[in-house]
Amino acid sequence: MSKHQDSNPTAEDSYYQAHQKVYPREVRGRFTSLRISAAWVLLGLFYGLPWLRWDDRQAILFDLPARKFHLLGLTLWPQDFIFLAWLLVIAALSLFFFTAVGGRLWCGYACPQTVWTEVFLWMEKVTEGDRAKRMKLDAAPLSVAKFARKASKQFLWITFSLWTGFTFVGFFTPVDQLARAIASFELGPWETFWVLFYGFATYGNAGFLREQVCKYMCPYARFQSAMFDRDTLIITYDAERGEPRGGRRKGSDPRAAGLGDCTDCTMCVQVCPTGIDIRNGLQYECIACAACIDACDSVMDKMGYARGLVRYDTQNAVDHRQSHVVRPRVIVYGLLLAALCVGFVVALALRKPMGLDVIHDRNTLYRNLDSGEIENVYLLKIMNKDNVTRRFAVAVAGVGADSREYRLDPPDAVFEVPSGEVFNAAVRVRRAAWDDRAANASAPGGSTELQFSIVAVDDPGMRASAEARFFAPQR
Amino acid sequence: MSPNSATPEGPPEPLSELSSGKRIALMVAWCSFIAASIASLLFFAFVDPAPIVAVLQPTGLLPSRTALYSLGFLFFWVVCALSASLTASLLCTAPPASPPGRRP
Repeated sequence: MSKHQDSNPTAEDSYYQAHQKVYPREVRGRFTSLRISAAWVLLGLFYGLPWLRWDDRQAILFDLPARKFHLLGLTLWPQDFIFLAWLLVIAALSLFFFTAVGGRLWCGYACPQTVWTEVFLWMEKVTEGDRAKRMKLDAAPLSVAKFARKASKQFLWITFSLWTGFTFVGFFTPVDQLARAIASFELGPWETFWVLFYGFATYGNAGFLREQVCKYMCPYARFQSAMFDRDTLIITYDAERGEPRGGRRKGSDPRAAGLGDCTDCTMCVQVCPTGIDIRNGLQYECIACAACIDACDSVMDKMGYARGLVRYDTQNAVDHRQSHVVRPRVIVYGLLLAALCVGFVVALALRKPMGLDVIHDRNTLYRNLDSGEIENVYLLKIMNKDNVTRRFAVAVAGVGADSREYRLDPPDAVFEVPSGEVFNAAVRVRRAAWDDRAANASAPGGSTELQFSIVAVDDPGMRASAEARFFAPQR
Repeated sequence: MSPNSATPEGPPEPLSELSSGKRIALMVAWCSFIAASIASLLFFAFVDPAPIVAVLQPTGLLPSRTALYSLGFLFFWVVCALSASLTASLLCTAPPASPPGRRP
């Protein structure tokens, strides 16, 4: 547009005024509404979830100090690490799947960088005015009014960033404790560090770096094209219909003037958060936020042309070929994703709410007792992954054809294990040194395998077992 | 503020395009942050720092697991950043020219 201004200032003035009046600076439209709704939902989840309660604890809490993750009714322990890894793989594959079908939906609607930049831009608009006013303000010399506007923007940004940092730490440390600690100025040094760190990261990324994060720092932006094919939804400019572009009087027939439908109003460029011109074709900077679609649609409406000069479409459709939603790539991603999700649910349903580890005493292999028996000492690690305190009875038996009697000391041992704790129980196991009835058959002397099992006293369905070695002399 | 702010129809915000040095620094910082997050996640899933805390707590050095998690993460971040910046510096500098007389 600056070109026009240089070549024909008077015409440009009226043209520019008309544009100011017809097209408001902020974009409005279907996709903008969708983007704003997505931002509300995602930010609502982020800022709201730490405050959600489940029974008498925080519903979502990655309790690092206590080494357990609470996800609603589910509690995951370090031993359940596989589930977390599994979830991450599902998340990655979902990203691939949705990228293959819908293009960069993640970038345009859900990426934290996009969402927080949106909020920071809104704060900028509230304090400094729309885009033209902001530019004027930046160019103006420092005055009281300018300082007041800039200071209020910084105040909003910094407050919001600190709140973001606080919320983030609230996912890892109980948020109510955190709030109380802040209120009484007793926040620990590391919590303080992380609140400030994430606050600063939010401030820097959403306030200053913005689209540069997508352009220079984001690995996904670089490799997402690997998921693309000619049937992936992209934001396209219909050059066939739009070109040759050029200004025209409203109501005039563009075809008579030898023009396409593009009025060259540059609205699509002005609204682009990464500052590209979509009319130059698909570029890796495009985060598919669809702001240009809304901008162009509103221009097309005003001009009385059909919408969709800039639109979501596939490369095949642009080239007048058949588009395919279902295709090998989508099927493979979809099947993998479905298998992983089903596997995850099944594994979670089959997950035992308890665990047993047996460690043989390291100092003494065995002891010969005066009674002629052999004694081994074991350390049982009983883990209660359930949300209530449980009592577990311990039993011990030979493995396979070994039908000898193994006696537990203390006999009928029952251990009470509080929710989410590992109980260490030392037990002794005794056995006759050898069984003369079957001296050389199924029960000779020497070391044998042994099976420990635990069962919840009030729920026989809850049981777990572990094997260990019983050491004994040959004869 | 930036050259773009002079034209009313440029990209929406005054874009402060970064110098290549700053850009590389940001890339190194961010990519090593991601790598360090993964490393910490894996490491601390299998290693519980509680015994170290128990040893150090009486000395008043480290009050909590949180401190060790944080230090562990920062350690991984520094190591990953070191690796990333070496890679970046190798990518950004041309290898020295072969001395004359050697086969190309």
